[in-house]
Amino acid sequence: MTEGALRRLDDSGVPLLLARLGVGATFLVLGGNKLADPVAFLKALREYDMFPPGAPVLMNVTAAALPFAEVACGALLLAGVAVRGTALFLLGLLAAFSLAIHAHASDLAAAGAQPLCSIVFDCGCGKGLQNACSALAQNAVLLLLCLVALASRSRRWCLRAEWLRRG
Amino acid sequence: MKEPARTLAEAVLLGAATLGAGLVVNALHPDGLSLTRDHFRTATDAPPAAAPPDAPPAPPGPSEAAGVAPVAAATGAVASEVADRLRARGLQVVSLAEARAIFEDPACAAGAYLFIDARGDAEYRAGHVPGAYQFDRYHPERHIEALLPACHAALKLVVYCLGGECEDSELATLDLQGMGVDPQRLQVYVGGLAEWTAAGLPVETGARGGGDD
Repeated sequence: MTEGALRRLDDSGVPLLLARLGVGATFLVLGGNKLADPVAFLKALREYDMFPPGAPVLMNVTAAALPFAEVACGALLLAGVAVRGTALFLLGLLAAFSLAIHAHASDLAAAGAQPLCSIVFDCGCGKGLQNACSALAQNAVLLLLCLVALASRSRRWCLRAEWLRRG
Repeated sequence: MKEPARTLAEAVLLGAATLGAGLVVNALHPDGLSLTRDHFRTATDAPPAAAPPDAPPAPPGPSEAAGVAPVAAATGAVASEVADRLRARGLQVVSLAEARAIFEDPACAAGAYLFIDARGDAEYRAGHVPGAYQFDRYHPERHIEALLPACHAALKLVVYCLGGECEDSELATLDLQGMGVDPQRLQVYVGGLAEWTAAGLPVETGARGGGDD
């Protein structure tokens, strides 16, 4: 596909709209699931061993704050507000958690002498028990959609500040 | 991508604002987390004093047990590993048959033997051992006032959660020990509610004593 064709496709606003809907709805629903049960999310976070021992506040704050942040970011993307900033923030979150999921699932696979894709655990993704490869694939799709939202120059079907000012 | 610095600033501001709002929401949330408490450390976190010198080495903890669904693993090798780990920490463990015998003993109906459900509100209300007290250790302030006097008065206390690799019964038992409950009276039912219901034993829904079997 030529650069001109890609530009026309982007100008149509369709790729951005699909990316916003996909990522926004996913974070809204999965963040909502975590928000409904903060303890379950805290337990899932603990399994990653990514927080220094003896500093429970850091893990507690993450477990307490992240679910609502995900819901808010999902809503912002669906509305089309601060799209690039939201996409970049979620991109960072997804990259960090994808690395953590891969590392933890690899440890579990090595401990049980099992293939990575046979590992089922609660990755804290908001879906309960989930296959590790399925979680990583889901994150890969979301990462790609975040990149589309970040790179798109279109602002079609986005809520604009001017519209809000007009009332 | 245009204006990368502006996008980065937007992301940082947005992240800080939404995370900050998340903390406010947590403070208002009925099941919000205490931010300062170490939820996975118990008052009795110490070397297992009651473990005999020749006790087998503690088996891997839940985080090290690869890819086993907690409920599905309620019986068999995993349950046995969990029981070994609890014994190595000096905790007493009861089987389904023993838990059932305790439940059916008239002393249980008289309040001398107690069951303690270490799960959260939704799980407890969905079904618990009839008459069991709830002790959600992530929100202990909700239960401790009613629970502690009953624990001190009881002769035998059976603590359970869902079963399998669920750790809440173990942590709750250690919490109760730390609150002064006699360790000799505390027992962990490793099979938990999953095994209990699978065996067709009675379950009560709703509040304690609701009688909604």
